[in-house]
Formats: sequence, structure tokens, C-alpha cells
Amino acid sequence: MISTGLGLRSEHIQEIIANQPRVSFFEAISENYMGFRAESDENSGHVGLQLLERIRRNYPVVLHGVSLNIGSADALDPNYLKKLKQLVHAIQPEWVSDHICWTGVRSENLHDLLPLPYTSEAIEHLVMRINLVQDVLKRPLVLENVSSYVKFGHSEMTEWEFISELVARTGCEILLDVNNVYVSAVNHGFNAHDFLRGIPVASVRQMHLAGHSSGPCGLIDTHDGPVIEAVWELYRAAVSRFGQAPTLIEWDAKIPPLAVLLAEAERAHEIWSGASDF
Amino acid sequence: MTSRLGPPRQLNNGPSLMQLQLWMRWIVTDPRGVEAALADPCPDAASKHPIDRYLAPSPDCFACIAGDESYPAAARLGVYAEAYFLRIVESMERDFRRTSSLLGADGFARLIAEYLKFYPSQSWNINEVGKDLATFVNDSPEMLLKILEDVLPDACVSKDNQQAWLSLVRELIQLEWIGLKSFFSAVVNDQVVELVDGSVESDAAEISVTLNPGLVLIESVWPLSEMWCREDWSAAQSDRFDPDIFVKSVGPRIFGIWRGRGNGLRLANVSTTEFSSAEAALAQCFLNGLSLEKALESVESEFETEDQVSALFAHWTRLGIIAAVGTDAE
Repeated sequence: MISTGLGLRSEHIQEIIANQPRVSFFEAISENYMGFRAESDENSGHVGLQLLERIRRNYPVVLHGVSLNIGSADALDPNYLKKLKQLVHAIQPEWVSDHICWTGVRSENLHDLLPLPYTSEAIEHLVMRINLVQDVLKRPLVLENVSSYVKFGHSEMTEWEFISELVARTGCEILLDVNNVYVSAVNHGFNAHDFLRGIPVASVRQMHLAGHSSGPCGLIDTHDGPVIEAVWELYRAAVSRFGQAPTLIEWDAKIPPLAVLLAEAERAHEIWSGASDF
Repeated sequence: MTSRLGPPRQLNNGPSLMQLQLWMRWIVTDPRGVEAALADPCPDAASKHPIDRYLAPSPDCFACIAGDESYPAAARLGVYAEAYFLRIVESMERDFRRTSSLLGADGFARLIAEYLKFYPSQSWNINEVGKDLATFVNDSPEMLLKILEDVLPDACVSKDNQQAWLSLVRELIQLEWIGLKSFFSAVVNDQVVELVDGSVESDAAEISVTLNPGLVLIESVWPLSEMWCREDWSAAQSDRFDPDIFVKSVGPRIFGIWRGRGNGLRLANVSTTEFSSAEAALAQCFLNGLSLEKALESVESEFETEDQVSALFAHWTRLGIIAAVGTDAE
């Protein structure tokens, strides 16, 4: 059973291969490995992809994208989908995830996870595109709620109503980022527990935990530090509601030694293991 | 001019998804910052790059961004604007470590902000953002010179000195980009290279030589190998650095850049070395897909003895320049 894991970062890969730490699974950023030849295809391949394939032999791996651009007003990029499908074929991940957001428009990538208005127009747009991606990948897409700093006056529903509608209409699954729920709740003044209560229980495929920073006016999702106590508390509530969904520690900047991440994952595992006690 | 930084109005009918995203793209990527863009959404050509993309799109969507006194809408948008530049600059600082060290953090960030006006990212891979930086710098010497004059005021005192700096930075950017591409090329495995032993003595007609897929040959009057190996490039912070520390040649020399064997995950796995004209000619034959026999025929006049070729093959094998040697039958 997949329990608690770590985001795979290049700083740790050699150590992971050498020492094989006790981690239930790893999450790799899809775009870091897309577009390269796999070791299984050729006798040579991209160095990162070779190492990911070695890790895959010993651990379950999930693929997590940051540029599917599912919410963009642009057409979906067929080249991106082709490369993603090739990577999925090479790695055979447990599942494939990305974000409920847009990352660019008019063929330009802003390399950020930008928020969508929660409107019926956006729902229709996303439903069509999620179904298309699921048809291409031949598996359910797992989509993550993002941290946001703006909300739109013309939104017609809450974020959790928006997500629930996507789940109901497409059968996609949810990567519940508990830190993102907390950051957005503080930034927009909603109750984080309302968010958790609004997400269909059976839809949560995975959870994320991460650190964030305080900006001059609100919180910023920086992934550059430990999970704060308030997020650990929210995670307890999430585990209580959603059960033992595989949970991952994300740390993307100021990356510490692997031992620090393993300690965070261990703490998550203690809460995760107690799910049946709630 | 009416201030547009107050509380936004609720639109009766919101913008379409495309309208909203085009407007957000504009406000987030404006290098002047959100508040300046809101205050002056259609600057003239003199104050900003005059392409359509940098003029505020219609409709104005600021009114649909919710904010309040404690966290105004402009400040909320500012988080995305700051992240846009920060994320790309941080990524490019890793990719162009020497150039960023040379220009200093502020100078490099200015260079990238200017670059993104002309070459915004069109790739889903952030490692590709810098692919046109060398072209941009070649096409915009005045911009680069202005940055150099600001970050290195003492260094750019004479015209000759300015030209030397311009040339050095342009060459360095190109070198670092090629190094990055070599780094991401396919790995050359040790077990493949072992096939080389003894192959040179076999019938050359049957032998094909595959060079390292990351090998790139480039010409320069600058000593690229020295430049690649130099660790300390900080110039803005000290007066210890001057282009004269690198001796330029009269005519261009040829350098090879390639990724060494093994699966190390650091740019240090990329190497450079100078190629003689004979070595470059032979390498080019293999890169063009010629068999060993055809390649040796082609460069026959360049090498005095067969031993020279054998020694070169052994040397290239040790360096990882030769990826594989096989026979046509294979």
C-alpha cells in the first residue's frame, strides 16, 4: 500500500539510488523527463530519465506535471501530450497528475500556476479538455488545487464546488494539496475546513504537504521550508475525512539534506497511519 | 490620469477566459511592475518595447480582480508578477552560472528582463527559456553595453575595452548554452565504449564510429576551454577580472564541447577541449555519418601517420568523445 513519499529532486537522486531509503513512493516532475529517449528504448538516454528508471525499479513513482496548461484558453498542445504519453509509457507511473490552473496563453508559458475563475464557462472548457487528456493517456487524470493570490469577482461558485463539478463530470481524481488549501484560505478569507468538507471523499487520490512563506499582505506558496503546525493540523482533518490517501512532502527551493525530508515524511506517516483511529 | 489602483469594480458580465488570460499575461509579465503598468497601460515606444504584446489588451480586466484594503488587488497580482521574473531568472542563473556571476545578480536580472520582452518562453520546459539568449545579445549590443557600463563602470572606459567586454559576454553566453544542451544529451555508457579496444586494427570498411551525441564543435577567438573551466567569474563585485586575462587568438580556433561518460547530474560533467583542424575535420566526418574508412580517406592529408589516428582514438575514448565503435554488420 502506498503511504507517504517524497518529491524527487536532483539533489537527492544519487543518494536515493545508493542508500534506498525507506520511502513509500516518489513523485517526479513530468517536464524534467519529457522529450528524452528512455533507457528502455535505446542503449543510451537522458541522464535524468535513466536515473528515474533506476528508481522506478525499486519504488512506485508518480508523475506530476506543471505545464499541461489544462485551463488555458489556448488549444491543448499535442506535442506536450505526445511527450507525456511517451514518458508514461516508459515509466509506468502509479498515476499522472497536474494542476487545476493555466500556465500560459498564446503559446507563451509563464511557468506559474495561474488561477481560473470559477465559472460555468471554465467548467465546460475544462471538462472537454480533461476528457481529451484522459482519452490520450488512457487513465484518469489527477488534478491538484493550487494556491492562489487573486480571486475573480465574476466567479459563480466556490473553489471546492468548482472542483467537485469537474470530478462529477469527468471522473478525474484530486490531488488535495493541504498546504494550498491553507494558503488560499488565509489569502481569500474562507474556512479551510469548508474546503475539505466540499471535496468528494472518494475523489482524493493523493495529498501534498509543503511549506510556505509570509508575504507583506498574505501567504505565498514557496515550498522552501518545513510544513507549519497549522498545516499539520489541517492534514489531520484531511486524513480523518479522506482516509489513507498517499501523501507526499514537497520541497522545491532551498532544498535541505534528504534526512530532513525523510523526517517530514515520517511525521506525515504517523498521522497517515492513525487514519483508522479517527 | 485617473488612478487605477483603488478598489476594483465588479463587472456585470465577466470577461471570457481568453480575455482574462491575455490581460493577466500582460499585467504579470510587464517588466515595469504591476502598479506602473496599471498607471500607464499603453506606454509609448520610447519607454517600452513597442510590440503589441506589451500594450494593455482590451477589455481591461482589473475590475474583476477581487481585493480589499488589507490586501489590494494590485498587490495580489504583484505576487504573480514577481514570481514570473524570479522563477525564470533563478532558472537561468543556474543555466548561465558564469554569465550571471560576471554581470552580478542585478545586471543579470536586467539582462533577462530585457530578453523576455523579445523572447518570452514558448516551451513547457523552463530549461529551454535561455535558448535565444545568445541571439538576443548578438542583436542588441547597445542594451548589453548599457548593462555592462552600469555594473562595470571602470571596465568600460575605452571603446576597445567595451568591444572586448561585449565580445566576451556574447561568447560566454553561447558557450554556456551549448554546455547546457550537451549536458541534456544522451548518456555515453562505459560498457559501450569498451568496444573500441582493438577496433582500429580491424577492417576500416566495416567499422562505424559514433561520437558522443552531445559533442558540438564551435569556432571562437576566445579560449573557450579556459573560460569553461574558470570558477570565479565575479566581476561586478571586484576589480580582479578583466577580459585581458583571456588571450584571444588572431584567427578562430575550434573547440569541442561534450558531456562526459556516466550519469552525474551536474553541469561539471560537461567538458571542453581545443581541436586541431585535422581533429575537427575527422570529428565532422563522423558527425556527418561517414564510416571509418570514408572518414580516414577524407582526412588522409591531415594526419602524418596511422599512429597519430590511433592515439587520437584512444584519447577520444578516454574523454568520452567516442560513444561507440561497431561494425556495419552490427
